[in-house]
Amino acid sequence: MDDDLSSSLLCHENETCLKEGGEELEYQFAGSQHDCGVSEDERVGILIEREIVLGFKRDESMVFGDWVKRARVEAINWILKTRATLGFRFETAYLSVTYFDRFLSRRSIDSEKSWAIRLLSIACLSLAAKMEECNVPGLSEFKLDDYSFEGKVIQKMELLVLSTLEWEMGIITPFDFLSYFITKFCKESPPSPIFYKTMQLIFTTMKEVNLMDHKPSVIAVAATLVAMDQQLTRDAVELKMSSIPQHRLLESKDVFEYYNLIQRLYEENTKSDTHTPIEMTESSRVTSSAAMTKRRRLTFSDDEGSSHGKGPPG
Amino acid sequence: MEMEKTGAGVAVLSAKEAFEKLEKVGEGTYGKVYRAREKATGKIVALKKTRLHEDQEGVPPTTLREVSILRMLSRDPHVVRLMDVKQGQNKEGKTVLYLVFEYMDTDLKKFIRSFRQTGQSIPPQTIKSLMYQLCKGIAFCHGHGILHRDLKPHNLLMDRKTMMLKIADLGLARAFTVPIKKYTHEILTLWYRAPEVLLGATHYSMAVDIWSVGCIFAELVTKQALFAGDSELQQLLHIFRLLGTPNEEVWPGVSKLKDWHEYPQWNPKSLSTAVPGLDELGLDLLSQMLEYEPSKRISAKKAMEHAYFNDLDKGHL
Repeated sequence: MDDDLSSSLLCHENETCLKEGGEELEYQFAGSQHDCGVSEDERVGILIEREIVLGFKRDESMVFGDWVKRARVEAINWILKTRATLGFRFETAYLSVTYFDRFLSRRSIDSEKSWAIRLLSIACLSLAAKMEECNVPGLSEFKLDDYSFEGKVIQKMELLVLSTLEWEMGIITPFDFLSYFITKFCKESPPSPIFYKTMQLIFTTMKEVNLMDHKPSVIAVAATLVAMDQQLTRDAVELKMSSIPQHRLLESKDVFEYYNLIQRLYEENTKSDTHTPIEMTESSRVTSSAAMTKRRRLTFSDDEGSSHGKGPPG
Repeated sequence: MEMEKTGAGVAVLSAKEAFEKLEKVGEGTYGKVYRAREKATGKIVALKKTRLHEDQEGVPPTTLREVSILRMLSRDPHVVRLMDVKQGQNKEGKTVLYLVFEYMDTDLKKFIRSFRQTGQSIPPQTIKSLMYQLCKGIAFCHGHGILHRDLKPHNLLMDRKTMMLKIADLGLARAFTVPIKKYTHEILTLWYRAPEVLLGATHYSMAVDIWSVGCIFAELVTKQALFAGDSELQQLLHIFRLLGTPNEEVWPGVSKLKDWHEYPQWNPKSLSTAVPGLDELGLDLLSQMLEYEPSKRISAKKAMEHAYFNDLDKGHL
């Protein structure tokens, strides 16, 4: 890392751990061992440019319908629960939801095909694990309460997701920016609690928004600022952002808008549960009307393309 | 990249219909590589066939990473271009993926072997040009947050006519983010493996690729692998014999690495004994690529600025 950057680092801790339910998540902050001849500022600049290529922006014509929103929340609950069961990193869960939203932004699923949403969530989590994890479990490890899918069916869905997303799976997430923004903003604060709180805020808002509508850098900045201070005005947000060399690449309007969204959700959560205002709902179970019925097997028929499946028998 | 569109209503030719296989040119973990002709254009391509033989695995992680990383990096002239991904079925009805790459007529391993067989030295300016292209390609990968993790002459494709070099085989490549993730150390061909990986480090960075680049640099000069170990221990001992046995003074933290033991004590030798024929500037660059402490190892971007490359015409590279 360049000397000018090393000297400007505000948080001098090398490593901090996010403890969640007894597990440790290693999180290593920017340090000289990551020198790749590209300064952190340049690295973040490259990432922000790539966000534009990846097409993170609100598309008013692409709004999820009510049933998709409900199914999406169930899918996210299942993803978070399975992440904990299989010991995946939080980033893997987030990446899988990004794939999920990206897929649904390009293809629609009929409302009667709840099984297709379940299958999609398995495929997205499996693909995210293959991108992020060192040890990837077999497809049979991805278990649902209400359906049972054969390996070859999940494989077909993986291929459909890949072709729909044009194999563009190296998608940027807010976690690519967190150490940078926390380091820039935190000044005297030790980063560990800030990082943990920022993570929680990101996961809380994930359920409420289509991740394709917002740039990951914007989410990362806004969540970090809320974690540090919940009373910032628009001017204060702009002032904080001006400390980032790459601030011209970030729209302060978008950051402030997302900051307010997080604030609103934070307050709603605080009202609904005084003990854990922001909780990663990995323990919550997938609930659906079909959950009480016996497991049903889905198979693609041979004459169908991989984009369609036969629904389970009624 | 001309990735095939598979949206509704778009007719997509299968690999069998679109290509005529000419010859098998290699074999990897998941399948064969063919030289083929695209029927529509007559263009020669490389087809990398990937069997999805495990229903319980789904799409192999190596294929997934390779394709998604190439989707990001393929616009660089020093990274092999992925032109398309086609899906098909084999005789048993299993799904097969074909990765369609631009065709390159040789690789650095074959190129070095051809000089070894004729007893000729690779011209110093050729070495310089190839090294600059390699550093440029790796700098591009690292700048986009990608570690290759399996750099070796066999994975560096070449065009004999233009002497263009391209990085290939990104199946083991990983995106690194800050935070650096814990990586498996069961990777990388032994001869080009960095000492921190051999000693069991799980947090590692771009420096592992630079070590490999240094080993390749030396091999271009001598036409022999610099450190040719046949086990992890032998590999370490080869390194220690030349560069000296590391200690806390030269490499702080080395004795805390998972697989550190008490090793025979060797003093460092001059690199010129192992790489005779490399000039002073080349030896200086090589020594910076083979620094024990990963954080002190030169970056690919800095390597491109090294005085060794000053007399190279970089305009066409």
